[in-house]
Amino acid sequence: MRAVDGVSLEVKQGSIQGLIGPNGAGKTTLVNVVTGYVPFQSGHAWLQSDEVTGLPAHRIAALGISRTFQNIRLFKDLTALENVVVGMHTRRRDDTLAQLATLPMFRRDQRSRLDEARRLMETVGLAAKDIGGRPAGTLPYGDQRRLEIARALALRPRLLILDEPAAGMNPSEKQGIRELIERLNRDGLTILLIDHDMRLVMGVCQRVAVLDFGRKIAEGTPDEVSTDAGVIKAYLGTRGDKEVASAPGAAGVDEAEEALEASGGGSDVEPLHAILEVHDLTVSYGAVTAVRGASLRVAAGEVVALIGANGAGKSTILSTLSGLIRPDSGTAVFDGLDLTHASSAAIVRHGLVQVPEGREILARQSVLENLELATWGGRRDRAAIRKEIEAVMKRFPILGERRALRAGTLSGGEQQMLAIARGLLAKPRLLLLDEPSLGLAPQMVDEVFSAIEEIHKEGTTILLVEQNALRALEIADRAYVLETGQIRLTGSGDDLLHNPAVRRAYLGG
Amino acid sequence: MDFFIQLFSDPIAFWNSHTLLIAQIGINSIIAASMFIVLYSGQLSLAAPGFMAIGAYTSTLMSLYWHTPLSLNIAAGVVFAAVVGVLVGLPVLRLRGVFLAIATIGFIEALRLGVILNVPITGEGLGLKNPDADPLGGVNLVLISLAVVLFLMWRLTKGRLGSAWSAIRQDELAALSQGIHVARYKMIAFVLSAVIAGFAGGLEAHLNFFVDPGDQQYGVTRAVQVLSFAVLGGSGYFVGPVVGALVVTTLPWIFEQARDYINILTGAFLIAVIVFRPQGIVGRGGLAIIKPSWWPRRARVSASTPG
Repeated sequence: MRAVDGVSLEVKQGSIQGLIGPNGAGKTTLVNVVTGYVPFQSGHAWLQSDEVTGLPAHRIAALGISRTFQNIRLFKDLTALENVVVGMHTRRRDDTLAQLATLPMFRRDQRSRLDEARRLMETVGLAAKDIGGRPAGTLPYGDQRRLEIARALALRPRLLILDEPAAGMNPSEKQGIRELIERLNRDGLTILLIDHDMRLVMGVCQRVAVLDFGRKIAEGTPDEVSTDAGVIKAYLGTRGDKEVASAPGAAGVDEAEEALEASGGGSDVEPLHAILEVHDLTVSYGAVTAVRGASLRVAAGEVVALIGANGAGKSTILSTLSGLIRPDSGTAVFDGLDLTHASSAAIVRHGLVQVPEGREILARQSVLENLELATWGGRRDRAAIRKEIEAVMKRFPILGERRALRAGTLSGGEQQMLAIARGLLAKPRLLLLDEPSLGLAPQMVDEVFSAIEEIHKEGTTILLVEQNALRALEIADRAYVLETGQIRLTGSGDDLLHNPAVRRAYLGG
Repeated sequence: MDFFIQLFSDPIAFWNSHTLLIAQIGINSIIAASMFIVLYSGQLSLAAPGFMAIGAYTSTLMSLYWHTPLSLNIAAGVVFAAVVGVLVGLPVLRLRGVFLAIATIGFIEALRLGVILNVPITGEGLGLKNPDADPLGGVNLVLISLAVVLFLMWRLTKGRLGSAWSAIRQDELAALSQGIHVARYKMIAFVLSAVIAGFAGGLEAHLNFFVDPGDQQYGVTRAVQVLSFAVLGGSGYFVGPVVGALVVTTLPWIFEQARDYINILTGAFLIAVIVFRPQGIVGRGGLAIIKPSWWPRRARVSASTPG
């Protein structure tokens, strides 16, 4: 498996370089390779005249490449100031003897370190006086992101790599991060920025490189990149065998879009009798609000798609519906059952089944064992269970052929089939599919989608979450477009397929 | 109760009648400090009893065969423990968490069962007689040593070394990104812990006329006891394990009448601390007691008043 394949990237001194790409494109892997966290098979990396290829991570950091992490990695029990002081490790003399003797020199140095840490906290917009003494883990989410940047700055880096610094932030916090990045750059810092938020990346970067399936597919100014046909294809996916030329926005019908937005996005197509009814749902993870007041309806027999860029809140909505996460406010009712209070088990018994993102199959068990486990509990009749499993295997012949193989040896597409088959065994009336095409090669995507269509024909209602918007819109009766936790657009699959606003939800602008 | 009455009413008599206990508390506190260093750098190592055995046997054998002075004997034990610490640390420190704990248990059991109980010079299962021991006179040396060790711990955790150790404990990957040579700092902590344990072992041997190769002395039982010092006292601050050692060592004396049930009492106390005070006796939050989520609470009166 090649996560990053033959990528060349050059960051000019004093610039802000963007690195974008859909989920699983290899962006973080590339950063991990450059910073020495992940070994690599071939290639070279230089920081100015220093070759950093193959050096251990701590040496690379000492040479001047500093980074933040996608999922914040602060020293949670240390205070905010102590976190920043750790960042000064490499330029601190070994003071073991001085501190053993409690020399005044040690105290003086420590005082100047704390002063510098305070200044760095102020630089990133944190009030050192108020929160400097608090354990980092107790700070609000946005402050933790900023503190991580302050700690990275304490290394006095030549290159600062920011891995999704704005993830999970609300628009005003994002604006703050954007201003911070611009300010640091003005002060002479070279920055490599990775983020899913296109408005941020396109707005702040001088140049942007795009990765897809581990390869660099485009590089240029933000304008060049956001109109590049290959980039649009990578983000919005492809429609069966049709041409990219018909992708939304490629034709540039901005007036039509404006009209559509003004008309409220055609909410008239919403069904009257819904089997699933979600109203004003708000969900957060601690301080991060992932979904803000989303409302949607699904009628029996429909295929409804939830589309939107990474981090828009799609999976959160699904997990809330299956009772894995409890919402802050709002209602969700499935055929008379209150999903915001029922247990996950009760929800499954009521006929609402989720096929999780990333498939979550049991890799060491055989295909058959995976399916048998799905029938666990409830029905005890072995003969009936056998028959159900045989029926599912007939529906996915490839699983029947591979019944004795370990599930982990299946290809990604076959694993997805297995995950869906497992979901079907729970006898769903409403099937929630989370990113069924994630990480699949194009022809496998076709197969998975035709399987989904067949399941739908047999009478199962489907709520589908997809990044591959074009494919999802093709099979969906209706769709909702999510952007930063809010539903921006809704309409029939065909309408949205030709709506340039969909592209904007993904690529910003 | 007699224990406390005497402690407060007549400290001098208490000192005279409990000298051995006080010395044992001191020894255990030094071992607790050795445990603290590895835990502070994020390593769940249970190797301390092994290094104690090295310190104890080295110094006792030197005293028996060469009649060298005590300070030289203990110093030799410490050096030997440090050398073995490096040799054991090289392969073992690649492991983390419980895997490291299991590997270090492997080390102490291999040392005890494979070497000490099998080599004639160690007296095998019979142990060693140590006629030069000085149980009562040793107590001053123990307490002075404890003070020095505690001072070292206090200062070391304040400086660059301590800052790197706590960074590694909290998040190894993030520590790497700050330019910290994680492997080196882990090794420093492991060897320093071996040095202190070897020192404690040499001191302890000097307090007893007999070096006992039993499990409760240098085996898993001792390792678990040392771990309980840290769990009970808390491992975020150097005083924690020492407080734990004080409590665990003193409990049997406080409940002298219930000697037969002392293990049950200690166990119950340990569980109570884990449940109500997960950070240990010494830790963040002053002396607050934390009620676990399953603890029954009094039904709260509904906020909305009728009418």
